[in-house]
Amino acid sequence: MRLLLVEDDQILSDSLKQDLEREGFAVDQANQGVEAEFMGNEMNYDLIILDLGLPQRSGLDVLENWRSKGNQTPVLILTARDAWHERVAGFKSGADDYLGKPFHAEELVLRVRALIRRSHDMLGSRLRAGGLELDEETQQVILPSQQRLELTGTEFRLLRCFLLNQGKIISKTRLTEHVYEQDFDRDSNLIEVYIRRLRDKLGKQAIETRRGQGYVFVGLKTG
Amino acid sequence: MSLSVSKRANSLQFRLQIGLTVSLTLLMGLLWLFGAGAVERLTEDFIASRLEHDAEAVLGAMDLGQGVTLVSAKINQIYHRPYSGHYYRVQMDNGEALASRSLWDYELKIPRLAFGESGRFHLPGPDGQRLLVWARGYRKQGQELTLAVAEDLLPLKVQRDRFLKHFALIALAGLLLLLILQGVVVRRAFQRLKPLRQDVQNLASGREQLLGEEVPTEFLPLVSEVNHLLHLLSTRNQRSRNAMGNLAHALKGPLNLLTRHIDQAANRDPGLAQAHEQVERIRVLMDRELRRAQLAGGRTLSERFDAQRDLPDLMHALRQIYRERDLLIESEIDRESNPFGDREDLLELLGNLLDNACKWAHSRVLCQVSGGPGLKIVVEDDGQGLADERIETLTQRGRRLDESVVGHGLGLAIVNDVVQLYAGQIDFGRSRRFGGLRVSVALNPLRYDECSTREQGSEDH
Repeated sequence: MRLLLVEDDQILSDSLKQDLEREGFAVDQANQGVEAEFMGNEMNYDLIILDLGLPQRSGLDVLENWRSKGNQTPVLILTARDAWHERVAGFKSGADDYLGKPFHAEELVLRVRALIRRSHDMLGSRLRAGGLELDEETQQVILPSQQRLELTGTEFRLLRCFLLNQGKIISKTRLTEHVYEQDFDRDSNLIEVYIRRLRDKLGKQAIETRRGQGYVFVGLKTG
Repeated sequence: MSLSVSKRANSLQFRLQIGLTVSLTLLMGLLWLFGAGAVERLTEDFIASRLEHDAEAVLGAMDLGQGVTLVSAKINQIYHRPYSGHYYRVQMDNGEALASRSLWDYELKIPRLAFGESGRFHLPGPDGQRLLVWARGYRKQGQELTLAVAEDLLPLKVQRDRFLKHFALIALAGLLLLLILQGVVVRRAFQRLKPLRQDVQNLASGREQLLGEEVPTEFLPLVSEVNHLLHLLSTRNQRSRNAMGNLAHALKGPLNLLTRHIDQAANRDPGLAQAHEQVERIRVLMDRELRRAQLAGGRTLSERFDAQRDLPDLMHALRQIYRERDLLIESEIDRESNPFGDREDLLELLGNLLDNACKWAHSRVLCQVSGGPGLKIVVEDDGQGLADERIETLTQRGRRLDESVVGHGLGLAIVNDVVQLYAGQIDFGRSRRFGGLRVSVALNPLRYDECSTREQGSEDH
């Protein structure tokens, strides 16, 4: 899961980045409007956290421009301006959620998780697909037998990506993008290594390889 | 009573009427006096000159050969009809006298005049007549005599009085007509001020932001002055609102970092709970005061709340916020509801009420907005609602909402602020339809005097 964090307060932005990375998200940062708009259009983000009071171009303008170009990436507005008329304006411009400052990091994380689930049409408050459930708090996977398995950070990130996109082909590049930071060496074969580890834990058939295209999470065979 | 009198005395139309009445009465009175005097003098002069001619005729017809005799045929017949109102009398210096037949046995007392002397007097005549007498001393055939010719003034006086009476009546009618005409003119002039009054009313109810300048020229300076003042007030208000907002928003960044820092450190050091509490307090206070400062109450030239346009947007926002909960959030808008109050105030009020309802609802929230002179809002949900005794506490006057409802914190405090600002009323009850809480709010159109007291009232927080 790759997020774009648009926030002009560098200290706040850095500390949020840490929080989000701890939750297993890959985070890109932008600290002004024009750059943010460009990045949001160029990269295929799973979610954008957007501050409204930005230099050069206001957050609302950026959001409106994205939406008018058909960019439907879920956007969570994070702003000090949280009067109701401002919230209404934010949602009207196409925001999916709105969080007023000051906030607790836990609250933000909960909202981010919920928004990501929602954007993948997953109802309820749990991340569940293909017979598996992911406990995002503890970063464990729960098998149908209720047995919990520990996951490493990268495994967790990969599995989350798979669970959210069950039945869809995900390219290796996309997986890499969503799992690592920007400066990660994308030609590396590490993804394959982690896929193998996941298969070891969940069973070989859970993740299928489509040669030349990528991987598909089909889920556990039930019954 | 005294109020209506002083109100009347203050009325422009009343003053104009008084002025017109006094000046016209004075003018008419002067004309009447002068006219009456002039008519009297003119008629008397005219009669006197006729009497003079008649006197010459009498003198010509007179023969002093043997006593005083007169050739009657030479004199106008009117002098021979008894009490005809036309008389003469000749008084010889030697005591002999001759009077016209018309005098019958009435003796006209005339003074003796020396030769060449003449005079004009008013004397009583026969039959209650009032006579104008013209007399002159003559010398004829070596004898000195005084000849007086007289005419009754009564018929003329009657005519003159009738004329004066008519004059007075016409003058009075004219005065009345002028007053009515002036009234109409004044009223029509004030009719042109009606749009201005409408404008001011619209201004008060927030439909208009400035006064229209299509007014009589005399009022234009006043209107421009008011507009200028409105503009000034609005800019000043906007500026202080912005300054307040900027400060609060700027403070939120550092506060956020502080919250974060304390959140992280609290895991290791339980002693930080106190610090955490204080930061939370600052946050709540700041939020509250910021929102309070942002309430406009329609004092500024701000945008109005239009339920038809704004409520759907708010519904959209709420549905997004509570998407996980799968709530049915609906609104009903009365078509009659006009734009009312300040858009930001009303959105804050509705947002908080609905947010609260959504928090407690199981599956349904309904918001009804209807117009009228003010704005009526009813928000209902199907949550568990409040216990009856709690509702009773809430309905108590002067009770601070944020103190009295656990879990209905800041949101309802700001709701209360808005309701107070619009001199409105808020009632809590149980929703008959859904079984949850029912909050109804009635807001009144704002008046300027209420604004000023409200501003003073909010100083103590």
